[in-house]
Amino acid sequence: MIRVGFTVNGRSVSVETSPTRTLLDILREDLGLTGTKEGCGKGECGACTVLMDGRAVASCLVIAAGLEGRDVLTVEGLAGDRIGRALQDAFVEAGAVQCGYCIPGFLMAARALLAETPSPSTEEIREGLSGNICRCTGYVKIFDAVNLAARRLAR
Amino acid sequence: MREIETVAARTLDEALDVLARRGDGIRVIAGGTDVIVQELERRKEARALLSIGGIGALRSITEDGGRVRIGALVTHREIERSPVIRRRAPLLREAAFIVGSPQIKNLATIGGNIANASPVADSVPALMALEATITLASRRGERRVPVAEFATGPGRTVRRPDELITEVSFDALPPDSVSFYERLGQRRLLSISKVGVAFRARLRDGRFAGVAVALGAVAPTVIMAPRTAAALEGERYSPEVAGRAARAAEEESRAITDLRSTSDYRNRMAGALLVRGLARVMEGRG
Repeated sequence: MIRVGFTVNGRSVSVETSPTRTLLDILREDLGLTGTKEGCGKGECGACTVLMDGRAVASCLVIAAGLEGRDVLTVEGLAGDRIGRALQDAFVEAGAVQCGYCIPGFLMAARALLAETPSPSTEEIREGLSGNICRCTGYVKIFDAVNLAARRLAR
Repeated sequence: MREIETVAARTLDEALDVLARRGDGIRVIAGGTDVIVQELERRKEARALLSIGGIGALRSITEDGGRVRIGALVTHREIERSPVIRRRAPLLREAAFIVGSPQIKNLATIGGNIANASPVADSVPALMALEATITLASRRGERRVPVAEFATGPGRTVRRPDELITEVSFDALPPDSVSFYERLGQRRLLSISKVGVAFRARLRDGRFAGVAVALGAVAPTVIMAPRTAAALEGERYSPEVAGRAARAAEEESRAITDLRSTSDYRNRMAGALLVRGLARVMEGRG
């Protein structure tokens, strides 16, 4: 067991855990932040996407041994974030959510995209969300939602 | 994931000390995108892990006297976004872009892509066409190995147990160069390569000079394609010249059949991707 200290949604946390426990499991099971979902568990579906030091990462592929001092943003932190709030509103208005399981991951990937590229082209939106899979429906309304959020944020 | 003893190194010295003491029994982990998946799928079961992600000294891209140096812990996303790489090695930018999703590229390191020694690694054909060199460090000192000589088979390399990849370096492409990395996968991003083709050459009076071609996913390791390069050397670009080189590439490919593609398809696609890439950089198409 090791003890690691890092930041989640602006709050300092310290957990005692196995060094090879994933960030995903720590968030969900130790910290009770169940907004982050597990899909494939090996980095291919994007459901577990969180931001680490501002960059979108698959939290199922980050282990505790590499977490010390990191700054993590999860979907629970989006409501307190300007881009995050705009994305959440736009996803609702554009009807981008069906079953919802993949949506926290999409929101986090979109949050990383808009922070880096405030006015993305359709191609940039597609690339920014290329690591996220939705199995209910298509991606058109999701892309529309990101586009809508970007346009509102630019005003 | 099951609990595995993990040592976290904060400096290169610490990492090399650990490897010198217990190199055989410990596996290096950086971004984790390969190691964790291999552990989860029980394809490899390490007795212990050496986490090197915290070594800041291995995180920079520099250009000095025409030599580009990339620290082993530089991520694919950082390579993709680097102005130095965009200017000096555009084929490597293309390979880093296509390697996976943002979530993977933000974690996966160039050193890891090399160390994993997969025949389908995307960065490796680009590095081989650049004639890049890997620096391996250990308590015994440093040595340099051409990327083309590093992997000896799938997952097998000439790295000794006490050695760590610290850097990969290559000469910046001269301004009169053309280069590309083309690859074929089931999805454009986030899929494993069926075939990858890396190309670079200079253009002297409209003729190819110093041609290098490397092929991924068509042999147990990424391979150089010298006969393909020879078919282009000294020639002016035309669709016919590209077609002749493509046939050489098909002959040099030694692809296997697996769940992703048949060998015949892969061999032919090596030629097709060469034609596509040449058309893109020579005619501005695609």
